[in-house]
Amino acid sequence: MTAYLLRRLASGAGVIVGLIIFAFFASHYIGDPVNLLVDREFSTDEDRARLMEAGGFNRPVQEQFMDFAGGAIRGDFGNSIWQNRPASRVVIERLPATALLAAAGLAFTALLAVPAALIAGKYAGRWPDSLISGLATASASTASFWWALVLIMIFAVRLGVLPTSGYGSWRNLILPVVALTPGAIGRITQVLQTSIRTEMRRAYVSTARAKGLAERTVLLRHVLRNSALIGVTLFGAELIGLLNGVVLVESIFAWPGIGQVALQAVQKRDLPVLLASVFYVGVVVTLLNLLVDLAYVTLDPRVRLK
Amino acid sequence: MTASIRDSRLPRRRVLAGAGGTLLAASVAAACGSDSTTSTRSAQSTTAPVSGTVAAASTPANLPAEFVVANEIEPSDLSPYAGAGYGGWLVTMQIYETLMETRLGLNRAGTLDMTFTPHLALSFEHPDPLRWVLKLRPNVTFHNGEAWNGEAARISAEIMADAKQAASLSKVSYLGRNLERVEVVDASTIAFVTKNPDEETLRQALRIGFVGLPPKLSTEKGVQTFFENPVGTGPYKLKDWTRGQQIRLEKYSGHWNQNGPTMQSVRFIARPQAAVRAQTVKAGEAHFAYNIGAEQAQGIKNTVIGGGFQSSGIRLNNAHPVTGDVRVRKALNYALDRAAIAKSIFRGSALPIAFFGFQPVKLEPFAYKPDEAKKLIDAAGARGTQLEFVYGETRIPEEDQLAEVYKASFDAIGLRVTLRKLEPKQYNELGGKPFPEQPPLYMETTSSGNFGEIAGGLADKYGCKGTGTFCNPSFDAEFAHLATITGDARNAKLQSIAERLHNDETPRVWVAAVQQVHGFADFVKPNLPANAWILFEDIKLG
Repeated sequence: MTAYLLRRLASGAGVIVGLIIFAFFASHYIGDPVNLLVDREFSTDEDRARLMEAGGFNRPVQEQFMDFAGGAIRGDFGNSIWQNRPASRVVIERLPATALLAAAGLAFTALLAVPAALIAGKYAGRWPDSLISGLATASASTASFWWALVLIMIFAVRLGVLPTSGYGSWRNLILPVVALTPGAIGRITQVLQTSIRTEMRRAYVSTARAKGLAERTVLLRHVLRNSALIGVTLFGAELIGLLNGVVLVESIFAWPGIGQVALQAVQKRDLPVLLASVFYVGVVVTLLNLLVDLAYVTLDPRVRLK
Repeated sequence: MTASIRDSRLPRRRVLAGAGGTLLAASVAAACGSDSTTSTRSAQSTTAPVSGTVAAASTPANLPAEFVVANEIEPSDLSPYAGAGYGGWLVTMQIYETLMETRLGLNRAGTLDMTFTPHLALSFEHPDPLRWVLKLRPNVTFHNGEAWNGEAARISAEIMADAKQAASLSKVSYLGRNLERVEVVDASTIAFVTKNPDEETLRQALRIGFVGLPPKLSTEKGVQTFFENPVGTGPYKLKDWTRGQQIRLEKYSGHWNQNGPTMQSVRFIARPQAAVRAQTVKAGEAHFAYNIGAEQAQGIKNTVIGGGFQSSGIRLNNAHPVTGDVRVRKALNYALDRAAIAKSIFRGSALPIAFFGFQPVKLEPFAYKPDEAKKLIDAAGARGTQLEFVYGETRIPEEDQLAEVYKASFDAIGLRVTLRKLEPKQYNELGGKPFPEQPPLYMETTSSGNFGEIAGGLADKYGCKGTGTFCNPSFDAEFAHLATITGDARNAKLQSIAERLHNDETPRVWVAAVQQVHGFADFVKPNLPANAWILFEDIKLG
C-alpha cells in the first residue's frame, strides 16, 4: 500500500512538473509576452522596451524558464500584471470559493443521480426507467450557461426568491450549483443506471432475493455496493469536470472563485496569474486523482492485491 | 485477507467521511466568512426603504441607504491610473479628481461639444505655446487631511509623467511624456512647461491625465499605496473592499463641493455578463446597471445613454492588392446601410459616422448605394474576390452581429467575405503586424479622438508609423502641424484633412459612434454627459 501510494505521489509530481514546463513554453509560444501586456492603442516602443527589461523577457528563454521553475516550486509566480499583487495570493485566496462550489455541486449531483439511477434500475424496462433515461440525456446535453440564465430569469427576476448572483450567503450558492451540475447529473445517472441494470441481472441478486431479503436491502446493500466502483471513478472525473466548468458559471454568477480569476487573467493578459491558476488547479486535480485511486483501492481489494 | 480488508473498511470510510466533512466545513467557513455574509445580507436589504443612520444624514425618505451599482468589472486596483477602462474609472473617479472636468455633449451632427468646468483648478491660461498657468482651487483637502496646493500639484504631475511609477501601463501615460517640468509659482498657482507645443495633449492632461494625489503620502509610501488604499480629494472615500465581491464607498464630508452627489454610501458589485447586470436591476438587487448594451436595454424599464462612447469601423489594408484599390474601398463604404445598422443593431444608441471620434468636422457618411458599389467592384475587377474579415476585439457586445451584417453587405456587392473571429490577444497581435501581413478587412473600435484629442488619433489611424495601413508622408506632416495650432485655424485644417481622407483616399470604413447604455431603478434620475466616466453628481435620487 505504501509503495503504491509513493508511486502515485511520484507520478503526480511528474504530472505537475510536466504541467509547469508545458504552461511556460505554451505561454511563450503563443506570442511575445510584452505584446500581451501592453495596450496596442496607447503603447510606445519605449513602453515595450521598459517592460521587456522589467520582466526579463529579453533574456535567453532557458534562463527565463529556470527562474520561472524556481519560483513556481516556491509558489512564487511573480506579481500579477493586472492587480499589482503576488499572483499566488490572487489565486490562492479564490480557492475556497471554488472548492465550496465544486463540493456542493458534487453533493447535489450525488443527491439526484444516485436515487435516479436506483429507481431506473429497479424499474428497468418500465416507464420510470424511460423517463429517467430521457431526463438524463436531456440534462447531459444542456450547457451550464443556458441553465444559468434561465435560472436567473425564473428564480431571481420572476419569482424573486433567490439572488441573481453574488457571494456570501447559502442563498447565493443555490443557483450556481444548480446551473453547474446538470451535465454531471445526466452523465452519472446514465452510466450508473446501466451499471445497476447489469448488476440486477447477476446471480447474487437472485440469491439475495431467494434468501428473503427485502428489495430495498438488495438494492442498497448489494447492487449499489457493487456499482460503487464505477461510481467512484465517475464522481472523481465529474469533480474535476466541475472544477473546469466553474469558469463560466463563476463568471455569470459573479462567484469569486479561481475560474473567475483565470478568465480575468486571460482577458487582461495577466500571464503570472494565468500560470499560477494552471499550477494550482493542476495540483488540486492531481491530488483528487490520487484520492480517487486510494478510494478505489479501499473499495476493491482486487486492485490492492495486484 | 478478505476478512482483514473488510474489517479495515469501516474505519477508513469514517476517516474519509470525516476528512471530507472537515474540508467542506472549512470551505464553507472560509467562503462564507462573517464579513462577507454581513455584507451580502445588508446588500439584499437595500431594495427596501431603510431608515438607518446613514440614510438619516441626508438621503431622502423611502430611498435605500446604499446605492448599489452593478459594474462590468472589478478594478485591478484603486490607484488613479488603474488600467481598467471605463468600468474601473467608474469607481476611481468618484475618489480622485482631475484639474478640470468636462461635460461632453454629442449633437446629432456627430460633433463634440466640450466645455471645461473647474475642478481642482479654477482656471488656466496659455501665455505661450510651451507654458500653461493654472490657478488652483483653495480650501481643498485630501481624505487623509493633507492640503491640496501648488506643491501637491507638482508632485501629482510628476507622478503622472513618470513612466516608472503608476502610469506605466496606463492608457493615460502618454499624456505625461510631453511634460518638461512643473513650476510652483505660489501656493495656489502652478505652471506646466512642455517640451513641444502640443495643445491637444495638455488639454487632455487637464481633464483625464492629471489627478490630485496627497503629496506627503505619495512621497513617503509611493504611488503603490493607493492600489488598495486610495486617497484623493473626490466626493467619496473608500469604506472597504472585498476582492471578488464588492467595493464600498462612503461620502467624504470634507469635500469642497457640498452640493455634490447625494448618495451617502455606494456599493459596487462586479457582474461581467451584461445580461446578469441587467437582471440585477430588474430583481431589485442593484439600482444602476452599467453598460448593459442595446440588446439587454430592451428588457429594462429605465435606460439612459451616456458615460462613454467609441467609434466603430473597419480598418482596410491599403497595401493589399484588392483593398489597396480606392474603388474597392469606396465600394465597401457604399455597401453599408449605416442608418439601418444604428437603428437595428444598436437600437438607437449609436450614430452613423464618416470620421472617428466626435470632432468639429462636417462630413456626411457615405450613402447606402449598393448599385454604385457593384459598379465600382466591377470596374476594379474584384467581383468574386475572396477577402478575409478579422474581428474579435470585444470592445462592444454587438461585434458578432456587426460581422454578420458586414459579410452579408459585402457579399451582396459581389465580394466573397470569410469571417474569422480571434481571441482578443490574437486579434491585437495581428493588428500590430506590418502592413503586408494584415488582413484585408479588420474590425476596429476605438476611443481615439473621443477626448478632444485628434492629431494623435490621426497619426495612429492614418500615419505612416501608426497602426493603420495608410501611409502618405505629406499627411504625417499635416497631423504634426495640427497638434500645434488652435481655434479656427485648427478646425479649418482638420476639416481639410478629413475631407481629403474621406473623399479622395477613403482609407477606412467608419460606421457608427457607439454610446453606452445603462439601466436603472425607478427612483434614479440620471442625466449623463458623454464623458468617459460617470460622476455621481450627474445621478440624482428621488
